[in-house]
Amino acid sequence: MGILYCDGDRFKKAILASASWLSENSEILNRLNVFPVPDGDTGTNMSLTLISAVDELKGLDGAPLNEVLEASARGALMGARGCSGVILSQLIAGFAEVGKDKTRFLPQDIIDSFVLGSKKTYMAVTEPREGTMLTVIRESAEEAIHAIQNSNDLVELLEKILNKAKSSLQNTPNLLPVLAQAGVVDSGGQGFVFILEGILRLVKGEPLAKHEKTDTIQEGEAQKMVTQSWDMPYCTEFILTAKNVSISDIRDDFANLGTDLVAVEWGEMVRIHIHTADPERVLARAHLYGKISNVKIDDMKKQHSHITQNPILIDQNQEQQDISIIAVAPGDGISAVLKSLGVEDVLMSDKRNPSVAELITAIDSAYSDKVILLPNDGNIIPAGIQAINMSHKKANIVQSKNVSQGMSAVLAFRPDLDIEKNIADMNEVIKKVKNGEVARAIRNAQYGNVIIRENDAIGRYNGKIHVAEIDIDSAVIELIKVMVEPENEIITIFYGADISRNEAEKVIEKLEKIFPDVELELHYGGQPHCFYIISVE
Amino acid sequence: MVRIVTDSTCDLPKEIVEEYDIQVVPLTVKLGNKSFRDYYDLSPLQFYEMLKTTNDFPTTSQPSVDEFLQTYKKFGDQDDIISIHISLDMSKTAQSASVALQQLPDYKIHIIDSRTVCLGLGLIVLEAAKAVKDGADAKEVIKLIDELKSKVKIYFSVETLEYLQKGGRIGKAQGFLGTMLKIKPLLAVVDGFVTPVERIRGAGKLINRMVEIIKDDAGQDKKIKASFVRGESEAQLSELISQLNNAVEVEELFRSYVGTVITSHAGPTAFAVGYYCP
Repeated sequence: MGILYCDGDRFKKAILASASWLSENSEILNRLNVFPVPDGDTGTNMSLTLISAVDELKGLDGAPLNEVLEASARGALMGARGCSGVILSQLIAGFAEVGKDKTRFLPQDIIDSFVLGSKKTYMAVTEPREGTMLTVIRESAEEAIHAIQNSNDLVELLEKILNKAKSSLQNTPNLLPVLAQAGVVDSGGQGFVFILEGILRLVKGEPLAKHEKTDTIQEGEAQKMVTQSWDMPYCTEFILTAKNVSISDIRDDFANLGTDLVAVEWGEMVRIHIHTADPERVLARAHLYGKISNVKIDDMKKQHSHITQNPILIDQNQEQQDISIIAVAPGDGISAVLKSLGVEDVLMSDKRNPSVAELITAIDSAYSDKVILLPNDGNIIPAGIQAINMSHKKANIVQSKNVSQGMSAVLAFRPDLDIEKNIADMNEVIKKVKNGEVARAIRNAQYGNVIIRENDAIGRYNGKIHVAEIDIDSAVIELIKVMVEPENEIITIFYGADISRNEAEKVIEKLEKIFPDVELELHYGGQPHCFYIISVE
Repeated sequence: MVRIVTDSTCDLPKEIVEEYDIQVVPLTVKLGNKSFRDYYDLSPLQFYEMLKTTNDFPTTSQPSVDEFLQTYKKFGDQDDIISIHISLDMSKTAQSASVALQQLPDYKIHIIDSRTVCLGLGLIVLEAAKAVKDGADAKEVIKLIDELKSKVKIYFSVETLEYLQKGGRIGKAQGFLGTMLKIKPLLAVVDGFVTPVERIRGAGKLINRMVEIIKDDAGQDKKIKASFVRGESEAQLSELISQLNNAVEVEELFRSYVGTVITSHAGPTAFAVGYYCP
C-alpha cells in the first residue's frame, strides 16, 4: 500500500516533519556552511524559515490543500533567512502555485511543483552557481519527471527523488571548488536532503528526533579551511512592501550595493537578502520604493556567529498624525532618517530641486490638512513659500536652510502640541544647530584667507568657506574644529553617495581622538554633491 | 487610627517607611526561572548587577490577594486603612487590593489609584503619612491625596528604550521615539501612563530641558517639593539635582533608587524627578 495523494492535512504534516528533522540536524548544516560565505548559519537559517511556515499553519487543521500551500509559502517567505532560506521559500512557492486551485496533489502535481519550484529558485538568485542547493533541487526535480512512468505511489516517487538528491549532493564538491577545498558537501543541498528525509521518516513512522548526534566534522573546521575576504560583511535582510514595482528593477537597482543578492516577491511583498558593506545604504535605497519591515542585519565577520543588531527603524511612524510634515532631502539616506523621525513625505533634491508644482502636489496629497513644509535648503525656500501660498491647504513653512536645521526641526516636533506651538518651537531650535558641508572645489579661487585650488575638498559653514584641503578627511577635521564650541555635545555626520562606509568610519576614528568629549554619530546620507554633511549641536 | 498601605513601586527609602510606619506590599519580579519580592528578597543594587550578567528579560507581577489580606489583617476593623497604589493602567495591583477588601466587609479600607508610580506614588504616600502623624483623620487624608494626585509630576529618562519597549509600557510612543538618530527621550508619567514629552539630542540638553520645564511650572513662587530616584548610575541625577537647586527652591523629601519592579520596565539606566508645587 502506497500513498496515492496528498491533501491539505498531509502537506501540513509533511512541512511539520521536515521542519523537525531539519531542526534536529541544523548543527550539522551550520558546520558544513562555507558557501557563499563561511558564516556557519545555513542550518539555523533553513530551520527558522520552515518554522515560520509552521507558525503560519497553526489552526489550519482540515483546511483545503490550496490554503495550506498558500500559508506555507507566505510563512516561509516572511520568515526566510539567509540565501538558503529564501531559496527554500521559493521551492515552497512553486508548490503553492501548482496547487492554487487544487484540493489534492497527485504524483504528477508533485513533480510539476518540484520543477516549477526549481525554476523559481534559479530566478531568485542574481548569479546562480552550480554545486549549490540550486543544483541539488534541479537534478532531483529532473529525476522526478522520469520516475512517474512506472508508479503512481507518492512514497516511491519521494524515495527516488531523495536518492537522486543524495547523489547530486555528493557531486557538489566537484562543481564548486570551495566545497572541495573545505572537504564538505553543500550545506543548503544537505538541508534539502534532510527535508525530504523528514517527510519519508514521517510516512514510514520513523522517529524525527535523534538520540545521539553523529557529527563527524568538528565545529568551525570547515569554515577554517576556506579564506574569506569579508569585503561585504553584513548580511542584510528585510521585507519591502511596495506597489507597482517590478522585481527585475529592484534586482538591477540593488545589484551594485553588494553581493549574493536574492530577491523574491509575493504579492506586494518583496523579500530581499544581500551581503553588503553598508546596510544603511541598502535600507535607504529600499525605503524609496515603499515600507520596510522585518529588518535583520548580521555581522558575518564576528566569529561566524549571529550578532543581531537592533533593527534600524524606518517608517515606524505608521499611525497618521494630526499634522503632516513634508520635507526635502538631498539624498536617500537623509530621507530615510527624516522619515524615521516622523516626516510623512520626502521630496528628493539629489538630481534637481523640486518644482513649485511638485511641492504643491506633495502638500495637497498629505494626510492632514495642517501641513508643515521643511525645505532644508536655502535655495528651495522661495519655491516652498510659493507652494504653501498656492496650496489649497492651510500649509506652513519652517524656513530650514539645510539638512541639520531640518533634522532639528523634525526632532522638536511634538504630536501633542498644536501646529502654531510646533512651528514656534521649530523656528527656535533651527537657530541653535550648526550645519557644515565638505564638497569638491570646481575651480581655483580665493575666499577671504582661504586659497582654493580646483579639486580641493572645501569646508563650508555659516555661508562661508572656512577650509580648503587636498584630502577630504583633513577638510572634515579642520571644518569641525571651526564649528565646535565647548557647549556642543553631538556631531552627526552624513556621508554622501561617493563616500564608502569604510572611508567614513576612518574619519570618525580620527575625530574621536581629536574630540574625545563629543559624541560622534555616523549615518549614510546619500547626497551626491557633498562628501559630508556635518551637524553640530 | 489611620493606617497607610502602599505597594513596593513607591520606591520610598527604608528609613521613611519605618519612620512613618507605612505598610509596603511587594510586587514580584521574575528573572529567568527565579522570582523575587521587590525589596524584600532583592535590593535595587543587587538587581542592577544581576541584569548585567543575564540574557533573560525580567517580568513583573502584582501582589496576590492574600498578601493584601495579611497586610490589612494586621490592623483591626476599627482602623481606617488608606491603601494607595500604582496606576491601574500600569499594574493590576489595586485590583488585588480590591478583591481583598471584598473579603473583609467589616473593615474600613479605602483603595486609591494614585494615577502615578515610583517616586510620584512615593511623594503622595509620604505626604499622606505625614498628615496622619500630624493627626489628620481619614477624610482629611483622602482629600489631601486627591489634591496631590493632580499636582504631582514625574519627569524621567533612560539610556535605552529597550526595556520600555519590551515591557510594552510605551505603547504609541514607540513610533515617536524609535528613530534612526540617537536621542535622549524625555518622558513623563501623565494620568497613569508613560508619555513621551520630547526627543532630545545630548545628555546636557536633556538635563537643561528638565530644569527649564520644572522652573516654568514652579512659576513666580519658584518653590517645589521634590524627590529623586536613580538606577545604576549617579552622574546624571546629581547634575539634575544641582542644576535644579540653582533654578528653584527645592525642598527635598527623599532620594532613593529605582526598585526592581520599576527597573524591570524602565531598565537600570533610568533616573527621575518627582515633584509638586506646594
